Amino acid sequence: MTTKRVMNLRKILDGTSGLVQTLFAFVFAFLSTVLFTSVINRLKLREVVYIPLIGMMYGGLISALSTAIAYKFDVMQMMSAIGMGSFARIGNFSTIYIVIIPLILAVLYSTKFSIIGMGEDFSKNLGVNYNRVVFLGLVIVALISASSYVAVGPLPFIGLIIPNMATNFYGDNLKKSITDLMLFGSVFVLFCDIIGRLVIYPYEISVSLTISVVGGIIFMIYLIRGLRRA
Amino acid sequence: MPREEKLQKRSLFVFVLLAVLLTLSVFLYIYSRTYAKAHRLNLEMDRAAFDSIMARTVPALIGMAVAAVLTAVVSLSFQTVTGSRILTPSMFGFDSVYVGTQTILVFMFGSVSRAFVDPYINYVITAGTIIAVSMMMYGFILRKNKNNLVFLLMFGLILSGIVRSGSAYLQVIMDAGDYNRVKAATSVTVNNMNTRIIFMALPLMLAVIVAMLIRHKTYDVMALGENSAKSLGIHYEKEIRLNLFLISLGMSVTTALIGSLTFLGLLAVNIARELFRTHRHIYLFIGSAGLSALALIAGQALSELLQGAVPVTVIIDLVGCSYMFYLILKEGRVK
Repeated sequence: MTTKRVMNLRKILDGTSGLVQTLFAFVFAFLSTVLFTSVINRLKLREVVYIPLIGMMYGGLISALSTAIAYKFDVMQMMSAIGMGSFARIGNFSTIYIVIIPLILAVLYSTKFSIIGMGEDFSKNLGVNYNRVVFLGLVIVALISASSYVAVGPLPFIGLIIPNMATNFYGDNLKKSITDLMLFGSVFVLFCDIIGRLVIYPYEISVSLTISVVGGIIFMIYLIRGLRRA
Repeated sequence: MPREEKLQKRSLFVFVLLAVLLTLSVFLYIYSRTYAKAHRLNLEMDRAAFDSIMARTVPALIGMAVAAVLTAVVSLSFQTVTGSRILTPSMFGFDSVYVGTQTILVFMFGSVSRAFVDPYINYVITAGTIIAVSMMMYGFILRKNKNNLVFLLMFGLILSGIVRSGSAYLQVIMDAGDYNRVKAATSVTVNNMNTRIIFMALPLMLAVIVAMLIRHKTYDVMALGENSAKSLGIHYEKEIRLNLFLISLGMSVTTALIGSLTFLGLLAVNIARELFRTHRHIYLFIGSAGLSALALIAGQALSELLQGAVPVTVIIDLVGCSYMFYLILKEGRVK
């Protein structure tokens, strides 16, 4: 949520090439992610409810800042247009090529990420350099989300529901599930995009809206089921 | 008791200060809309022009005061009921439920139907939906899972996401005239206030505020936590249900009147807590209501003086978020 808001900032640079935009967005996304995680880690009492709350506030702060900047330069309209995901936006593929390297890295490091997920002490026992892997993970996350936001726009809920569904089938072992995750995510997005193009044919509805409705309902079902089980 | 006296003395001082500041900001707001504007445009400010501007300024002032006071009071009671210092009801996306209701009304009955055009019928339907949705949400989550706030927050966020995108869907499907009317009806902000319902909003607001103020001692006891409150003879479940109803009613008034002000309640209540350093709700209620009205009116005056360069919600969000961050970092945790 927060990383995406940050990327609204880079829209004052519109008109520059996709590569520059992506790098700029990456720097901001990375810095803000580092800031956010360091704030979270600094809290003495880590109650779970504060993490999404602080995220909300952080996002609110950044979006208020970017709105102020957009007002100043009179680009509010462009900013709201950029908040809508659309595959029609892809002009050249330079933004997509950037993703390839971090994607390969993500696949290679998937086991290490699974281990990191078990906690700092545990991963040190297993001989994983905790700090380095966390840093690498942040870089990968920031780079992938920056370039996908520049190329397409926000795709809400994908990151929430697809991994949740996969965990149901595979458990937490990322190495087994990561290729299926990628395929399943792409199929889901493609499916939603097709719906968005058919509803008011010959016009199109932004793919984010369709994903938000379909994905939101799926996630709601997951939440309710989890609640019942608890 | 010396401590009691100290609190009374201090709060009297703060109340007087707030009243003075509030009066000043009201005058500043009126000045910013009349003489400052006339001076900028090199116009003469005569009696007739002043009167005609005032005819629009006074309802705007009343609307802002109503919304600000309600937001603060409702946020405080919500924090007491949920036992959390950084949650407010406006984080659950009431504005998206409002947008969704308007869209569905137009989609089903058309934009010339009485259900949409008549401000009173429209408000009753909207408020009913907001109350029903929030009671369902709270009842489902708070009752079954004692204070599972993460779930509540997630539910609110996701529900508002679905409703917002779903109404955007309906809006693109409907015809252009209907679309324009829905857009006009749902873009309520501080600058574009829905003053048509102000005469209904006033008594409702007074009812909610009075109901909460006369029960300020109940809140004092409820702030001790569920078990202590129950031992001290509070009908805990009943109180929660009643409060959630009042909170949803209050939120429906502010949302329909002025749109969403996400961080205003949070800012006002927490500054009031810092200023008074007490758990007495009577002081906190009055203090946070005054602070909230002050923030909104002074912020709006500032925004007018800056010629609308920055909207007031952005100012409040910036100040509110920075302050909350400061609070969180300072204390390491927020109770």
